[in-house]
This record gives sequence, structure tokens and C-alpha cells, in this order.
Amino acid sequence: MEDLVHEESSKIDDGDDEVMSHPSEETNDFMKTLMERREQTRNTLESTMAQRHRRLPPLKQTHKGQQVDVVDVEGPSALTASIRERMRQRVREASAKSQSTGTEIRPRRLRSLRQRGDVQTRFDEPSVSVFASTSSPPPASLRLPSPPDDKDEIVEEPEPALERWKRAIEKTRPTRFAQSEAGIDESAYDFFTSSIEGGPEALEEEEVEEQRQVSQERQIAETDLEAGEGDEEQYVPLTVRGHAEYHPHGERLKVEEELYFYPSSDSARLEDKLPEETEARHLEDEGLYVGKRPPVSWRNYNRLENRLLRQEDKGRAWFAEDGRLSYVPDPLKKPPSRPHVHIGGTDDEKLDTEVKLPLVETFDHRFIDGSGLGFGCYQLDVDISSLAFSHHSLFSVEHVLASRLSQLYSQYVERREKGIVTFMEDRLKALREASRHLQETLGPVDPEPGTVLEEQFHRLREYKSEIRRIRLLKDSEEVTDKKIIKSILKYWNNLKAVRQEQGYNATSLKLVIRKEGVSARDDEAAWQRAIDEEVEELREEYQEEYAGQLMEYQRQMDEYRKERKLIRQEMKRRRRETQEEEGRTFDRSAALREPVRPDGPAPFDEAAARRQVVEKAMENRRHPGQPKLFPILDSSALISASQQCPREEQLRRRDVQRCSYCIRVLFNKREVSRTATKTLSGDFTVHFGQIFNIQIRQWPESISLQLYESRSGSSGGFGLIAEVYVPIPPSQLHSGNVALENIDFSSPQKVEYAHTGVGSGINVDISSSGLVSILLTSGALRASACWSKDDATGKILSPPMLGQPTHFGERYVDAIAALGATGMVDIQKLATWISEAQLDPNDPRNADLLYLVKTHAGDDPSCLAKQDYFRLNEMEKDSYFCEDDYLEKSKRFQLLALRDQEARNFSGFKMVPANDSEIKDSIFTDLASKEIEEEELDPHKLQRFAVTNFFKEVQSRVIDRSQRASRHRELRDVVIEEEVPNIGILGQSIVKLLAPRRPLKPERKERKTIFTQAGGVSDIKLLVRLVRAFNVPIRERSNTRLGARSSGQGGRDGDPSSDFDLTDQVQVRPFVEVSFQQSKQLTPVADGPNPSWNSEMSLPFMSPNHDYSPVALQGVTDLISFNLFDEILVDLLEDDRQRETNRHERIERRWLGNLSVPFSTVYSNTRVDGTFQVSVPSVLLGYKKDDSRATEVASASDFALMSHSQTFLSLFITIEPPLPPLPTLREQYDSNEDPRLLRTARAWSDALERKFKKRRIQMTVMDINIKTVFITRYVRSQNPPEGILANVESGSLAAMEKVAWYVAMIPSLADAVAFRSNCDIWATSEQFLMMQAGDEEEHAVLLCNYFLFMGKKAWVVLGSGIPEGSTAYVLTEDQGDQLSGEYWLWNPSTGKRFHQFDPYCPLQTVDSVFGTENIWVNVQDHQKPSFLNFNLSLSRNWRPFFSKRYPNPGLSSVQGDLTYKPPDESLAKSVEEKIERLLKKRFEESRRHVTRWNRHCIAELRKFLPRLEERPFDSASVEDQKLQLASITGSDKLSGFPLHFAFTDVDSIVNSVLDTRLHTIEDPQAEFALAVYVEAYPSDVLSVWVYVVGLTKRLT
Amino acid sequence: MAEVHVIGQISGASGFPSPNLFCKWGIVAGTPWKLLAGLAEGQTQVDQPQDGERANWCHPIDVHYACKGLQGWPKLHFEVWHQDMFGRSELYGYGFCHVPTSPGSYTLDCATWRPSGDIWEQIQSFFLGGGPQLKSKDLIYDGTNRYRLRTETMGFVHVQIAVVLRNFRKFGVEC
Repeated sequence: MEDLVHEESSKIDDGDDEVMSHPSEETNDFMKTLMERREQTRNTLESTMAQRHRRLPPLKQTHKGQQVDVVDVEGPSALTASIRERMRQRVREASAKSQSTGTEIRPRRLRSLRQRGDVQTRFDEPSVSVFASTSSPPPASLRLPSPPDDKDEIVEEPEPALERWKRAIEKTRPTRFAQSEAGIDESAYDFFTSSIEGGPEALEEEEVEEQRQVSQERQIAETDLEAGEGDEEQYVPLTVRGHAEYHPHGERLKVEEELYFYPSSDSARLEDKLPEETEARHLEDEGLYVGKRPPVSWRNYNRLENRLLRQEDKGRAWFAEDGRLSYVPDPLKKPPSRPHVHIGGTDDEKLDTEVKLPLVETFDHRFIDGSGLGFGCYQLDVDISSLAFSHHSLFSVEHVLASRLSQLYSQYVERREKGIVTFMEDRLKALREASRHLQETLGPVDPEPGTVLEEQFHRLREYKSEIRRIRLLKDSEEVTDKKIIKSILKYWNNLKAVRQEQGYNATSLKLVIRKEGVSARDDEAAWQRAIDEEVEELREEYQEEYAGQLMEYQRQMDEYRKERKLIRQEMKRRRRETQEEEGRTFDRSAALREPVRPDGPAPFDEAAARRQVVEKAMENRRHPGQPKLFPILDSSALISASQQCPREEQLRRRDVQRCSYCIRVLFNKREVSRTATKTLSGDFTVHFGQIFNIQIRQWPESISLQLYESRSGSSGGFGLIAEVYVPIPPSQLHSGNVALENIDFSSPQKVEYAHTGVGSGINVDISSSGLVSILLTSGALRASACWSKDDATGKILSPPMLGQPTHFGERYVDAIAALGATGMVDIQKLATWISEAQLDPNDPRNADLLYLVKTHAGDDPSCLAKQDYFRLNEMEKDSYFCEDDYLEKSKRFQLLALRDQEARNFSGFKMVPANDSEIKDSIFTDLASKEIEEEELDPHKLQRFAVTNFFKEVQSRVIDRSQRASRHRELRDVVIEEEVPNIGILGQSIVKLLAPRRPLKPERKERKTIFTQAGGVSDIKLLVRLVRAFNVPIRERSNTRLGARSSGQGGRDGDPSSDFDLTDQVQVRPFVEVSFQQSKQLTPVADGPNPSWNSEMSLPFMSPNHDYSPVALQGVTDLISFNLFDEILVDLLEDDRQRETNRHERIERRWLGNLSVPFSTVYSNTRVDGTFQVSVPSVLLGYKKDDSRATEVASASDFALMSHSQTFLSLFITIEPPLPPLPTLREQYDSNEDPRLLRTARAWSDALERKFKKRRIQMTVMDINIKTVFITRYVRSQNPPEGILANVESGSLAAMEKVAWYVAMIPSLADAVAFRSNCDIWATSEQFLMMQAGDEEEHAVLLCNYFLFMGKKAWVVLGSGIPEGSTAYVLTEDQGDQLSGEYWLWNPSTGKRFHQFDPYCPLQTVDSVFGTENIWVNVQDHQKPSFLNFNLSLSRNWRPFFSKRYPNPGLSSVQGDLTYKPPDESLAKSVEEKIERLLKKRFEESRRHVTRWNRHCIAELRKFLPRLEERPFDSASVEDQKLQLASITGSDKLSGFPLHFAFTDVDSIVNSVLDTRLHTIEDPQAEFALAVYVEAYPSDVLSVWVYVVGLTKRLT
Repeated sequence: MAEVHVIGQISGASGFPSPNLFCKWGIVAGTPWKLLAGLAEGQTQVDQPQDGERANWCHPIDVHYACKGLQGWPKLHFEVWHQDMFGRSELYGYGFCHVPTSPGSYTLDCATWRPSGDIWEQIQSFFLGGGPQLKSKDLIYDGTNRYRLRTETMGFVHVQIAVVLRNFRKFGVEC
């Protein structure tokens, strides 16, 4: 098309200047004439040439009848032409003398020329003859020919004409042959010598002559050339001077005028343009679309038309029906196809750039813009309108009733407005109508299954069930309505009564009941009809059931008949038999029992049904004929004036006036502004009417409003009543479209008055209404929060949406965005809105929306797009490889994703199989529920399960938070930078030079820690160095001298006689077995109660899942246990005679004590170094504490340890290579605390920490929600479980010990293990009891709270102790009469109590003390408890945090009252049994010999255990026990001990018992006794005692 | 179904006016794609090369995608930032490139650009630093409207990447 157009237009354009070039008849004619002329010229030439034929060879032989284009023939060049000329002249001269024949030819030629000259051309102009005579080349390039000459001239002077022609040739072919004359000659020679065909007859005789001439010519030419310039005489000028040709312009024009055709520019006649006898037809007038004509000037247009009309067919094809040139509409588009690029910014918001000055910014995700310096403007509008109390402490009784009444009334009005019952009735009616209609059309025929009818029956059934449902609903709604009206009336009566009673009005409420009469007859009829309908429905319903029952009955009947038949037959048979066997009477009783005849279904009891319906209606509905009642509540009653009221009421009213309120607005828990203080009005509303514009930078987390109340006018202090949270507005909610909301609040405050105010939070007895309840101050705050709208731009100042998808495939043009409802995502809501708004579907403005809703059939998000374009997205789904949810379902992908997320149990997963089929389904459940399954083995699995779940929940929360924190890395976490040596280090190295080579007390060097990546380091070892032990129990001398053959075996050189030697020096031969994970190692055996081993061991460490990342290592729960044994050599040599030559001994070991250090302690402290107490059971049969020998000790501190009755072990543990501990959680977490408090606390503790570098000053801790909480909030008196204090005097020391024992029974678990992160998380006591696990702090807090409850002075002490490192103890001050002013320290994990000056107190240092009201930091020089003065009031010893300068703001406690589950005895029993059974089994399994149980001893042990539980630390009973046992067992030698555990799980207890190796007594005669006792405490705390005793026969 | 594993590093950048650079990067993929493992976005450290104009980051990329369709093949996008002597950061360039679609290891050079701003903004940024930034960062890799931005060329980000594909042939995709 376009091509065509272009062609056409170019034609038109060309038509302007070169009309000539167009093919037209005229031009053709013109061309013809031109050709003719050319021919003529050629003929002329030929004739001239022929004229000279004799003298010169022709340029080209002309063939018969053939026209040869002269121009195309190789013409002689100018040079050659002139040479020839000369030659010819010479030849001519020569021949003129010799010959005279040529003249005959000439006249002929001339004649012919003359004849030619007479030939009339078409134009018959003289110039034609000019053309002919001048014989110039044809005017191929419009070169005008030379000026015309006379014919005569031509005749007379043919030579000059020829010459002129030659010149013309010369001009056209300027230098073609000028290069070599010789070449030309040669070619000429060739030309001449070539064969000549069909020459004229006359030529024959000429030929010879001609050849001769040629040779002559050649000769001449050669001589000419040779002679050249030298031969002056023979020189002929080679060039002829010609003058410039000029054709006068006028002539030229004249010629042109003749040649050219100029079409007229006048418009052509319409008749010419149209075919004959046709009318012009105008399409435009007929209403057809015709495009715009391309603009062409009318002159050109007309010319074109005229020219076209000159064509043969008058150019019909070019003209359209309307007589104008046919055309293609203007193809040019007005707007440019490329959009205009704005220079100064774009209109598309998305394209906007913004200039940001470079700023140093640290990203903080709490800020919307990533930093506090954000440029975004986000503004919240918080509108606080008013406050209305639904109960207030200053309410009088009347107020209470009035508020109830108005509540009920508003409920009533709301219901009435909604018209639920009416709606139901209408619905019911419609349904009934529909079902009846359907029933009628269907008729009673039973449907064929699978037909349309079947479907309709189905629908009918559905209708019926719907009717039933709605009827029930309606009934219940009616009941509610009735109830509400009833209670409105009741309250109104009460209110009236109260008013009557008190004699004045305090409220303005007034209830008016409007009656609306109804026509009794109509009503009756409607009533009857309703009942009829219902009965009818019931009947139908019943019939349906009945049909089913009937079927069933039929079936039963059939069965019954069949059965009866069988039985009858049987009976007959039997009868026959009996008849056959005569003498035997027919035994009736032997007859088979007749089957029971089934009862048929009862028919419909209409009377009963009707009765039922009527009863219900009477109860729920308005009775027929009764007037309709409408209660109307208004406030038209007058409130009595104050002076008319009694004094009490006056007081109340005065108080009301004094009450004033203000509201603080808190954003993200910070106060941002507060309202003005407003007084309470008489109707207990407060009007604020304030809007707060809050410009925010942080992400909104909470917007809360705190309601403050002041009692004594505006000057008094304000008390917080309630805090309400305003929901954070969604981003499209702005000030233009927000509505105020009622936010309910209530306050637990307790207020009581002497006047008529009823108070709140207390029991209120409103006797007249029989209402006794606790009324809490409550009400509704009318407020709203929304985003501001910028008035100028109309932009909503809300932060960008969170969590926008970044997939570019999901971005579409949002149709809703066009409506201004950007970010609206709930399409369902939009759809409902559209249906409600009844949009005009024809309005194109709504097209987007309707399209949107229409396409929202599925939940395909792509439907959100308004698509006026084509995208491949449509096909996207088709090109998917697999189903949509495959990615989610694939096990491999799940596993990979879980591993990546470091989900619990999956973090260390190394290899993920390549194919789904290789992954078992169970892997997910397996790993996740591993621990649960373990727990399920426990007898009390349900309880444990709940605990585990709770614990897991907390744990995952903590892990989540801590992992987020661990991503915040510091430079030193990533870059290992060698310390640049400074002057201090230089100094040290100089000092090092002077230091002794082998110092007496070598110090350990700090090692560099290796920062492991996951899986980086795998060869980890635990280095343990056991230095020595102190005060190991020594063997007890048997009280009988007899047969202690095996006791006190000396060294290897021991003399057998030493058995009887009382002064035997060997008291004990202790060694230690270190066990960790699967490996065990022993120290060498040393002698005496204070052995020194100094042996080093290395134990391999294996991380679970081979995951050596810090997080995984943190979670390792393995213990390093040190078991202290005594090695006993038992002499087995039976024959004394061999003693001199043989030795036969058995090595036995007796367990003395245990010390276990959790791996996590080593890991988090990088090393454990020191002297630790070994837990030795209170009763150790066969051993005693060595009190007498307190000697041979090196250092003073060791001495202190030595002389005590405890056993100690000094050791050193570290990990090789050193691993970095998990970075501590940095305290940058959210807090509910006042920021000022936190700031002050930080500054204060920083200042003190600078002064006392090593002291742990802890002001805030994290709760399990990872929120910072001020530490004193944890301490608050809390009730201990009641049961445990039953038998003891309250407040006595025994009671305290009991409580401490209870606390100690709760299992310990370090935070690091529990939460897999190095953070100090403090659970509240409730959580602690719930989790049944916690570290020292939780124990200490709980114990302290119990003590406070018991009225003791108690604090929590933070410090460091052994072996746990930093720990918490409880400090009590005894103000009892005999122990006045004495301080005691309680170890909460063991329940033991130490005196302040007890040098063996495991608490080594005291850093700070805190209680309910304050925190004190130890600013004394010493840290050891025994050196301290615990009088906390002395600020030079203890620096308090809250002081006069910064008083305690009254921090409320995070702890609440505790509730306990009662002790579960059955649980205790089952645990007891389980432990005993398992232990016995394991004992028997692991012994080679038959294990014999000494029942007698077991019975005795069972008696001891409850006593131990009662007085766990009483050493006086120990001796009793020993004696008692000895008396029982008599000749047996006893070894054994009671062990105590806080119950966590059975396995750990069993393993600990087996770790004592008591069962390894190899004596085949050995007997064992084992007793288990479990004491149940409240809240499922269990105390487990295991008494194991081994009995070996003394040899007599 | 099919999986794409991209392992490599953002080795550095060159051709920027100043070599004290760091880079924020990310990988985006279409809806049929699911990130199985690895971080799909991040930020490099600031490199302040002692000499030469090339900043070296050697920032690892290790992502594992699964996909059920080819639409939205993953793209790497970068924001190169410059940290000046005062520690202030300013934008130096945006750029993106596709993750190669056939397996093998590649060295990619991703050309970057930044919005040039009007004359006033240019004067401002000449004296004060900073400069125009895109308000919506999606524009970096979402090419629908980008031609309307007036930008200037900045340097190149160099990425060394190995692409491992799995199961594509199974679905008739020859890579």
C-alpha cells in the first residue's frame, strides 16, 4: 500500500518539473521523430562516406538494409580523423590529377542529399534540414545541433560539414583512441582487411585499386610518422581550431517550445474525467469514511489531471468515482511514535530519581528508610475524640444500672435495625415458596437416578433442610430478642426502684414503652397459620424419617420371619425326635427362644407436635392479640440538683468534678504527646477532640494510648488507668477515609469510697437488683489512627508497603491503582463493595473494576492486571515443567530449603540426595520428633510433652532472634588482625627476657582462637588436666577385727599381715575416671586422701551431625564427668603357702564421688580451671571423712578447702584447638522499659565497670521474648507451694530449707544449652516452673521470691562461684533472735546454705546484689563473701542504683502469683518403678555373674530413703544408718551410697548410677541391694533417691 | 523441578571515577522460580585499593534455584556505591546482567550507569557529592520504562560465575 502511495506521490511530484519523461502519446511521437531524424542523418552520412568510397575505406561496411548506429561504431578519434583528413587531402590531390571517375558518383550523392532535403518532416521546419545537413550526431543528450546552414552550402562544401561532424564525434568521444596512433592504425588495418561481404558489384573492380591505395596510405602514414616533426616542409597542422558554439537562448526556447508539452494548470472538466454517462459519486456524502487527502497544490494537481487526460484511455484508471484522482489517505500520523522525553523530570513516579547527598549512614532496620536520617516523610494522625466510661468508680448504683440499661438498649436498637428476625422470616417465606413451587412441578413421582428430576429432588431436599435450619435460627433469635426486652424492663424497674429508694435522680435515663395495637383477628389468623406451617413442616420432616424407618422395619421384619421360620422347623424336627424317642417328654424349656418381633415405627403424632410448636411459640413469640411493645430510652429525666441530694451523693458529685483525665500517645512505646487534661463530665464522658500528627521515622510497631486519671483536680498526680492499643493503620487508610473507632478498655484498679460511688475492682452488691459482681473501671475510647494525607499533593504519607514481592514477573498495571486505592489487596472486599455500590456496568470508567471482579473467579494474581496489551504471561503457565505446587512438595527441595534455613535438626545436614525417590518421607518427621519420641518413653509423657512443646517454642523464638543478631558481624569477626606492636608490648617482651626460664609457677599463655566455619575444623579434642584432689574420704576401719582381709590392702609390696595392722597408713588409693561422650580415661592411682596426679588426658570430641559451627557447638549437652574412685586390691590367693611365690589379686573400685562439667561451660568460657567440689553422697558406706588429718597442704587457700569436710578436685579443662565462643547477643533489642531508665542504667553501670573491671554489673536482662527487662522487676514475693510447708513452722529455718530444697529440685539447664545462644535469658518464675529447667538465675530468683513471701529479707547475689562460673545466690539476713544480723548465702541449685563467713562457701566473689527496690554494686575492695560487709544501707560499701537523684519510678514486677499443680503421687510411683526396674535390668545385664539381691537389705534401705528426703543435709543420721545397716548385714562388708537427683529423665539417672561402677564388684558371692524413692512435689517436681549397696562376704 | 546453581564471586569493579567502591547486589528471578538455598542479595565490603583503578571485592555468590518454568531467568543486579574520604556513600551506578543460560564458568562484565540528573543536580553533586538515585530500584532490571531515563555511563562490575544446571534436558530445554 505504502509503496503505492509513494510511487503515486512521486509521480505527482515529478509531474511538476519533468513532464517530458512521462510516457504519453505526445512524447512517443516526439521520440519517433527524433529517431527518424537520426536515421536521416545516418543516411546522409552513409552517402557522404559512399561518395568517398573510392578514396577512403569506409568506416564500416553497411550491410544491406541494415541500419548501423553511427555513434556506436568505433569512430576515429580526433587525431586520427585529422591525420586521415590530411591523408585524404593528399590522396585527393593525387587522384585528382590521375583520375576523374569519381565525379560520376558525386552527383548521385548530391542528388540524394537534395532529395533528402526535400523530405518533409512532420514539423516541417528549417531546423530539420539543419539537422540533416550538418549531419551532427543525434541529440541524445539534448545537445542542440549546430546552427543551420544553407542547403547550397552543404552541397558546395561537403567537406567542412563532414569535418564538423567529425568534430562533433570528437566531442562525444574525446580521447578514446588517443592513446596510441599505431593501435588505431592497426585497428584500422584490421578493419580494412576484414572480409567484406556482399559489396556492390561496382566494388569488384575497385578492390584491387583500393588495396593498393591502402598500402599506399600505409606507406604514407608510416613515412609521416617517421618524418614527424623533423620534416618541416611536410608538416600539416594536426589540430583545427574551432570556435565555441553558441545557441541563442531565444532559439533554444523556441526549439524547446516545439518539443515540450505543458499540460494546462486549469482544472480539467469533470466530464472528461468520468467515463461516459456516469455521474460523479461522492462517497463522503454517502457516509463512508474517506481519509484525509494528502496535500498537493492545486496547480500541480490540475496539471496531473490534464496530463493524464491526454493519455489514450484518458487515464481512466487514475480517476476515482468522484472524478478526482484516486488516492490513499494521508498515512502520516500526527503524534510522534516515540514518546517525548521530558527534560526536567518525568511524569511517571516510578522513574523519578531523587538527589541524595552522600551521608554516613548505618543501616538500622527499625527505621523506615534504613537510617534515622531518612528523608521520607511519614506522618501518622492519631485522633482522640472522646472517652466514655461504661463503668467508673464514681458510678452510683443508679449509674451502674443505667449503664447496663443503655447497653442493653443499644443492643436492642442494633438488633432491631438489623432486623434479624424479619430477615429470617422473609427468607423462610421465600424458601417455603420455592420449595412448594418445586414440589408442585415435580409431583409425587420418585425420580430416576441420574436424571434431571433427580437433581431437582436433590434441590428440594436442600430447600427443606435449609428451611429447617433457618427455622431453628429464627427461633433462637426470637428468644434472644425476647430476653433482651425482658432484661431491659427488669433493669428499668430496678432503676426506678433505686431512684425511689434514694429519693433523687442521678441519671437522666428514662424508658418509655410504646404500644402498638394490632387487630386481634388478623393476628390470630397469622399466628394460626404460622403454627400450621410449622406443624406441616414437622410432619414432612417426620415422614422423611418415617420412610427410612419403615424400610428398616421391613428389613427387620423379613429377617424376623426368616428366623422364625427356621426356628419353627427346628422345633418341629425336635418334636419329631422326641416323639420318636418315646418316654421322653417334650421339654418346653429346651425350646429355642422365639426371636423378638421388631416394633414398627410410630406414625406421626400430630397433636404432640402441635402442642410442642404452640408451647414454643407461646414462650418465644408475641401472643396473638397482644400489643407490640417498643421500648424507647431517652435521657429526658431530670437529674436532681446537688443541694437536694444527701451528703453522700454530694460528695460523689464533687469527686466527679474533681476527676480529670489526660491521654498519653505512645508510639513504639515512647510517649510522643499527650492531650490536655480534661475534667470528667456528669455523664462520665470526657471530650478531648484532639488530633496528633506524628511524624515518624521508625517502622510503626505499636500505637498505644495511655489513660491517666487525676483525682484531686488538675494539680494532683496522675495515675495510669489503662492502656489501649490502636491498630497500626494499613497504608491506604488516610485522614480522608478514616472513621473513629470505639476502643474498649478496662482497668483492674481497686477503688472504694465512703460515699455513694460504688467503686471499682471490688465486690459490689446492688441488693435491689440482686446483682453482686466485681465491677471494673471500663469504658470506650473513641479514637483512630491513620496516615496523613498531604494536602498539596494528595499523597498518603504512609511508609512503603512491607514485603513487596521483588519478582518482576508479578508486576502488572494495577487497575485498582487507577482508582486511587493503591495497595488494596483484598479483592473480595472490593467485589462486595462493587456489588453494593451498584456500579453502572456500561460506564466505561467502571470497566476496569468490573473486569477485575469478573476475572477474579480464581485466585490467580495475574487477574489483577488490566490488559490492553499482549504478553506472553498468558502462556506462562502452559510452559511450566510441572504442576504449580511441585516446588513446594518436592522432598529434595524441602530438605535443601530447611538446611539452608538452618532449621532445627536440619542445620548440620550434610548430604541431600539428588533424587526425590532417595529421600524417605519419614525424614522430616523423624528428625523433628526425635526428642518427642524419647520423651514418650517416659511414664508421664503427657506432662513432659507439654513442657517440651513450650520449651521448644521458647527455644525457637530465642534461636530465631539470636540468629538474626549473629548476622550483625563486627570487623573482628571477619578480619583477623595481628596486633600492631606498641610500646607496652615491647616493654613486656623486655620483661620477658629477664623472667626466669622455668618459673616456679608457670602461667598459661593465651592461645589464638580459630574461627571455624561450618565443617571447617573437625579434629577437636578436649584437654583435661587433673592436678590433685583434696580430702578424699578414707576407708573406714571395720569395727570388727575379724576377717577384714580385703580392706586396706597396701601397695604392691603390701604385707599380708598388714591386714591386721591398725596403723596401716594406706587409707585410700584414689584415681579419677574422666568420661566424655564415648571415651573414658583414667588417671594413675595415687595414695592417700590428698592425692596428686598431675596427669593430662585428651579426649576426642564429636559434634552431633559433624557440624562444628558455633551454633551447633553451643547446643552440645554432653557432660564431662569425673568419677572419683578408690582402688581396692582384693587378695584372692587362697593358699597361704603360695604367698611367697604367687600373687592373685583382684582390682576393685569403689565410687567415692562425682563431678560433672557441662561441655557448654567449657565452650563458653574457653577453659575451666580451678578447684571444684566433688559431690560425695552424704552416706558413703565403708568410708568416712577424714577430719583428723588436716595437714601437708601447700597454699593457704588450699588449706581452707582441706580442712573442710568436702572433697575437692583441682583440674583444668580446655578445648584444642581453641574455638571461639558464640558472640554474645548485643543488647540492642526492643524494650518495654522507659528509655530514660535504660540510658541512666547504662551510663551508671558503664561508670562502675570502668572502675571495677572484673565485676559483673547487670542492670537489665532479656526475657524469653528477647526484650530487655530491668532486673529488679524479677524480684517480688511469690507464694511457695503450700504442701511443702505443711509440717514445718512457718518462717522457721526448716521452712526455708524446705523451700530451698524444693527450688533445688527443679532441674538445671544452662541458658546456652537451652537456647543455643550465648545470651542471658531470664525466664519468669512461672515460665521457669513451666519449662522445668533453668539456670542459676532462675533458681535464685525463685528462691529469693519465696523467702520474701515468708517475710524474710532476701536479695539475689550475682557473682561467681565454683564450678559454674558466674552464678546467682540468694542472700538472706537473719533477723531472728539468735541469729540477728547474720547473713546467709543460699546456693539455689543445691539448696545448701552457707554462712557469710563460711570459708568453704562455693560463692567466690560477689559483684552485685539486687532486690525488689534497688540494685547495689559491691564497691568494696574485696569480693569474697567472707570479707564483705553485707549491710546494704552503707553506700560506701554498696552503691545503689536508685538514689535520691534518680528515685525508683515504681517498676512493676514481671512476676505474678504462682499456681501449682498438686503433687502427683501416681507419677512419682510410676517413675520410681520404672527407675528401679531399669536399674535392676541394667545391673543384671552388665554383670558376668548372677546378681543376687539382698531383700533384707533392700527393705531396710527403703526405710532410710524417705528420711533422707526429709533431712537431706543432716549428717547426724548418717552414723545411725551405718550402724543400723551394719547390724542387719552382720558379717557382710558393705559398700554403697544414696544418690540424689532432680528428676529430668530416667535414662540419665540410670546412667549416673551405673557410672558409679558398683555393679562391677567381681566377687561371685556379692549381693546387692537397690532402693529407689521418688518424692513428688508440686508442679511435677520430682526428687529421686537411689540407694545402692553392694554386700561382700567377709572372710572368716 | 529443574535446578540452577550459581556459584561464583563478584570479583570487583573497574572504570569508575574513584575506586573506593562497594556494591549492593541481588539476584531476582520470576515467579516460577524458588530460591532453595543461599542468599539472593547482599552487600560487599568497601574496597579502597592502594593503587590501580580496580576495586576488588571477591564477594561470594552461591545460590541454588529450583524452577518450574523458564520465565524470569535469574538476573544479577548491582548497585555500585562509592565511599568518599569522609565516609559518605554515594551512588555510582546501577547495572544488571542475566545469569548465563548454559552451564559452564563465565567471566561477566556488567556495564553500569547512573541517572545523570539535570544541570542543577549535576552542579550540586559536583560540589556536594551525591546525586540522583532511582526511587524504585526495580527499574534497574525491569526494562519497561528505562529508556526514558537520562543516564551517564559508569564503569563495569566484574563477575566470575559458574552455572550448574540440572534436569533441564528432561523438560526439553537444551542449554
